[in-house]
Amino acid sequence: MSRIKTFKGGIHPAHDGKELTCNMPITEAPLLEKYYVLFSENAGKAPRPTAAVGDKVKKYQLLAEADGFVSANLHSPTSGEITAIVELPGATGVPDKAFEITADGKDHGEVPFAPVSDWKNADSAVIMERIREAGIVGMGGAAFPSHVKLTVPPGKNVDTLIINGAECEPYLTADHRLMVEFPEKVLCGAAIMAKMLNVANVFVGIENNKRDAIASLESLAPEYGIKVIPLQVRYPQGAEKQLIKAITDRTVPSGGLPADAGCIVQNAGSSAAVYEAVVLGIPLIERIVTVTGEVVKNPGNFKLKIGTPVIEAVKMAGGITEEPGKLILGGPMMGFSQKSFDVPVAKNTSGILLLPVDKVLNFASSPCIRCARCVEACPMNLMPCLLCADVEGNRFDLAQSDHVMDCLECGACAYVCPSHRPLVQLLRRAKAEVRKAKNKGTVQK
Amino acid sequence: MALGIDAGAGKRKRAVVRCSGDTLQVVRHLNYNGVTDCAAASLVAGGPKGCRYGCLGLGSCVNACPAGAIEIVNNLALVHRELCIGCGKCVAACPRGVIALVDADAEVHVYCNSPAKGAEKRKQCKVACIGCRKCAKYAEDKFTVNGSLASVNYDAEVLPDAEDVENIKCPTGALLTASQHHLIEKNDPAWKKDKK
Repeated sequence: MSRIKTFKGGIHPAHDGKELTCNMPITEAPLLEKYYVLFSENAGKAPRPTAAVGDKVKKYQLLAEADGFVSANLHSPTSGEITAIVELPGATGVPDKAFEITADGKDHGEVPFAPVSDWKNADSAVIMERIREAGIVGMGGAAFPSHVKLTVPPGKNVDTLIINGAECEPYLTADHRLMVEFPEKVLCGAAIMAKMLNVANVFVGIENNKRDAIASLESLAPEYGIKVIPLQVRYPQGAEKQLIKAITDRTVPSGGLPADAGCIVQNAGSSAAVYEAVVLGIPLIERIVTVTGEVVKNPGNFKLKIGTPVIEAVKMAGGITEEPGKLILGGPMMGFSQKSFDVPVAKNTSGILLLPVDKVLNFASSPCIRCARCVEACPMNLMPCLLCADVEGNRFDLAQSDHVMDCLECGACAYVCPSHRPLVQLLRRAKAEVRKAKNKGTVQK
Repeated sequence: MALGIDAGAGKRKRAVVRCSGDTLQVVRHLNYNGVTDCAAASLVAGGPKGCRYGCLGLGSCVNACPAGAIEIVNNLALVHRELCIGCGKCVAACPRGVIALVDADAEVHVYCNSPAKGAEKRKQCKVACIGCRKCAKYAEDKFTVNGSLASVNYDAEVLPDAEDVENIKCPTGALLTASQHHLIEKNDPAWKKDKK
């Protein structure tokens, strides 16, 4: 047997917290009174609102229309009335407007799109249009519109589709449970995308600690002509470029797209959403969210509607046993720390994590001792220690020439740093500055 | 006249930090434990302070100042007017745009930079300008109110002075003389007694 595949670098946290929820079946959430659907749930341009305050909306009704190519439609999670447009903090802490939808309790609406049951013979353009209409975005965390990712840039040749079921973030088990309980949705979604892209090689990459998910997918995969690839348990195995490297042994060039390596990567959750949109005609209004952490009474996986307030989601999990030290949306490595419980669940919220006070360490960082552990850990072959020296000296030009833009902010460097240096924050600062300089340049031209 | 061009009468400028929201006045949302740099901190959940527009108080301006005129007291930047040379480097360094270069003769400033609504600001900060227009009603030529944020009209012929501040009695204390601002930042009991 060949060695289990992986990539160079990365880390494995000693305690991954997955045991809290990995055996908890997905629970349907009860209907709530109010939902707060953020205007901008996707990366790129925010969609243009088509509904206004006072409008009666049905479930699945379009609330906002994609504004441009890199933008995604937004649909109502339930039936009711738009009672207000409020300002709420988004996951990144930047305030955003949100529709306040007061549910009428019926949760009724007609499926807006005609189901394409015969997708094997459907036209690629029809499937692509359906994925666009359904407002599907990358559900792993980046929320990049899926129809953009699935559009092969001109001149590129794509021969491989990879479904990302690695779920390398500690604590999160949403994709894991999805693959265990609904393997046919994930596989059928993958097959639909493969048909649309006309690619022969379709892989599902899963970390080797999810044996039950691998087993459940493997039993059905041959039917769809899909290969299930077990991967080594290593963070960030689920990062796009690392996944491509592990499965196909191809390297995406610096600054390039997966299409440059002939690959397209989609999250397992997005794949299931594609199945629902194409075969059932349902737009993306629900997702599976892991509500977990040591202070949550009954951690578990929940099928939540987009716009569910985080506080309600925590109540569904039995509430908290003690005052949490930190609330994080997403996983502990790359998720966003939150100021308040007001933030609603969005299309890319994979987890709601409440850490106890004693796990939230406050430490002072000390100077770099040049041990190069961060260099070893960096999955992108960067030198975080040098880049951060550039940033601290305000030399963003040097940081750029040292390829700071390749950084995927996975946090492996900061995790291993014995001096507790806030490396990711410095790298994010550098990326923001480089982007700013680039934008300025284009304006001047 | 030099090179045949009239340089004109330049006016001396000085930096003013348009915020008095120190640790004691502003709601803090996050227990921030990261890089001591304002630009980096503002990337984390919109910054540690409740107000999105106020001084972050981590001292990016202090590092930028060539004259050593800025000091951080209680997480708020404080400009020592006698040292400030008006070069504007702090203005460029501040990610929030809180610092402005104004007429060096101006004694009175509105120490708030938030265009948010008055009620919202009041929840976050005890010393925010709530746009009550009291100052504009008192002296229309000296102050302008834009939405819920007042500002001193630095182009006016007569600039407001300490007596005006005394008469206006700004309800939140956003309108202050520069010397009063030093007291609030140092949490001087004299200022507190005054406010009661």
